[in-house]
Formats: sequence, C-alpha cells, structure tokens
Amino acid sequence: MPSSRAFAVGSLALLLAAGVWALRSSESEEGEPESALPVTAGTTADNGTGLTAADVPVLRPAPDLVELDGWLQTDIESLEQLEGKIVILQFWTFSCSNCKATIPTLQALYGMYGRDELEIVGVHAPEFSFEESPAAILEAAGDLDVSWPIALDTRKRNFHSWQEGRTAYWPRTYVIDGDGLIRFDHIGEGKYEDLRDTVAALVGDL
Amino acid sequence: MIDAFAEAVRDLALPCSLTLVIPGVAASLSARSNPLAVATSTFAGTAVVGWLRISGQIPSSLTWWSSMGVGILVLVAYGALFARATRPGQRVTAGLVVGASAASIWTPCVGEQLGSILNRAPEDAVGVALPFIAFIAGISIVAIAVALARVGFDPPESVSTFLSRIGVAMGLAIAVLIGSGLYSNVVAQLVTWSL
Repeated sequence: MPSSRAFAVGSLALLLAAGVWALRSSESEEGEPESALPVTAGTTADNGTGLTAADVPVLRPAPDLVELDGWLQTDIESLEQLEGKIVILQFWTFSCSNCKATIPTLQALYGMYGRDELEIVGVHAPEFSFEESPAAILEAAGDLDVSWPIALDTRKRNFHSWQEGRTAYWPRTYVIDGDGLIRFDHIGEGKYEDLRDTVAALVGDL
Repeated sequence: MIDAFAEAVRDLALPCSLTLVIPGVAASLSARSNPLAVATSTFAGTAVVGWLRISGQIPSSLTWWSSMGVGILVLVAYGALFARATRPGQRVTAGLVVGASAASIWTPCVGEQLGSILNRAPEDAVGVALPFIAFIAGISIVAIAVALARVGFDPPESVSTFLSRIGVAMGLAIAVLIGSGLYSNVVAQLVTWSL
C-alpha cells in the first residue's frame, strides 16, 4: 500500500475515533443536565447565591416590543404592562431544538416565583413558514408545556431589532428588571445557573 | 475547544448542521482528484466565512440577487470539481467557494458551546476564532472522512467516477436550490421530518 494511502486510512481511523469519542463525551455530559439544577426562590439575603441586584450589571434599556402580530396565552398587549416585575424574555421558535432545551429551566423558574414577581414572555419568531400559524404555535406550546405568554413576532421585526449587530439567533434570552433595564443577555443553550442567580437577585430586590 | 468540537459532532444529524454537512460531502465526492485537498479547502472556506458572519463583519442573510450569485458560483465550483481538466489549484478554489457559500446560508443550532462562542464573538472576534474553527472541524468531520476514505481505499476508476457523479448531482441540486431561494424550504422539510 503506498504511503499516502496508508496515511489516509490511518487518518480516517483517527478521525472516526475522535468522532466516537466526541459523541460519547457529549452523552456523558447530557447525563448531568444543568437545567436540572434546583431553583430556589428567596430574598436578596437568602437567595443562596450571594448575588445581590447591585452585583448584576445593567446592560442597556430594553426596547419595547413593536409591530407584533398578536399575543397568545395572555391578556397583556405590551411589555410596559409588566413594569415592576422581573421579565424573562426569550426569542424562540417551536421547532428549534436548542430553544426546547432551555424550556425545563424556564418552567422551573416559572413555577418557583409568583406572577407578581416574575413573568416570562416567549417571543415567537418563526424560522420556517410552517411555524407561522398561531394554531401550530399553540399546539406546540401545549406539547412543550409552555404556559407563559407568547408574543407573535411572525415578521421578525423584534427578533432583528432587539439583537444588535448583523446576526440574530434562536434562542436568545434576556432578563429585564422592574425598571425596564436588560440585566442578562445570552445566546443559545446554557448559562442556566447564571440565569437562575440573576432572577433570584433581581426578585430579591423588588 | 474540544467541547466545541464534540458539540458539533453531536449535532451533525440536525437539519441546521446538514446545511454545512451536505455541501461538504458533495464536494468530497465530486472531486475527480485530490479529494482531501478539496475537503480541507471546503472546511477552510466554511470556517472563514462563518467566522466573518458571527463576528458581524458580513451580513447574516442573503438578498435574492446575492442568492442567485451564490447559486451560480456554487454551480461553477461543483462543475470545476467534477471536470477532468481542472487544475489542482482550481479544485482548492472550488472547495473554498463551496465552503464559503454553505457558511453564507447557514443558520446554526446554538447549543451551549456555540452559544458561548457567539456571545463573545462581537467583542472578541480573534479570541473565539480557535473554538469556532474547532466547531467547524466537528461539522466537517463527515466530508473529511469521505475524502480520506476515497484516498485510503482508492476505489477502481468506475466506482470513483460513479461517486463523483453522485457528488456533482448533489452539488448541482444544492446550487439550484440556493439560486432559486428554495434552500430554506428543503431545510424546513427536514426540520418537519425531525420533529
């Protein structure tokens, strides 16, 4: 066998081994999902994180949600109506696997705090046309146990205007304090502990 | 970096990853010769344009006329990979074009590792370059494996030609779908099937 062929076969074996190792390491990480962390409510003093609202940086004022295509699962019509509460606002779309992976953490937080303390707004910005129908969104919300208000951003005006820069992503999760200031901003899965700590600190300051 | 690579490998079968995986595999199959050089240049094109996009240097979405232009470029690139008369340097350029075009239409699945890269990218574009390259290496693993298999097992000419025809057919279909703006419809169909 010429040396170039032997090199290629050896490299292929190494590459496949690296792929199998990567898959196995991912599986073992999935065995300890960060989203399974217990979420505990409390005041600034006893939220268990040592973090106070003053420790959470102010990133920027939250823009309003404009030119929406409607709301589902709520009577509210604007973010202003939630002033005084902590709001987790997430841009999502129901077929996005990474968005779905964040839902257990949001559910845990939603169950832990009262509606006078914390509200979640899922801003649904569809990637594909089959995700645009409100009926399909409601059906998916039921299947996924998404019980919080859903703002319909079907034309994705807010999806693009909220996300600075040239590229917008799903999911993107913000935490907005009672004064309408963004205090947490994260693209993609993960940072669940930071999200929990931020919410606990801000709720403790209400 | 290793975590980013592992996340990309884990997500290989997701529709959002297939928009990079399929053009890469098609390029590795299409190449009449030097498939490894083609796979490597496809990977490089994907990494560079992907990095430019995540760091905000180039627009994230294509207009209809730029879709048409990318579609034509992809068509020419796959044609060059398939043609016998193409020189080695031209094959590498064609691989770069295929990778760059795939990255220009890619909507990523943002898992934990890629999310960490994307969160840092606007402020620290240089710092995220290596982990991002590791992520793209994970996505490119299938195309590189196909190229290595073609070199390592050196199939008979008839089998090699058959594989090249499959690759160029896939490539032409990709070019037409990109040029006509229908590529996202195909991805949508894949997503529907995966639900």
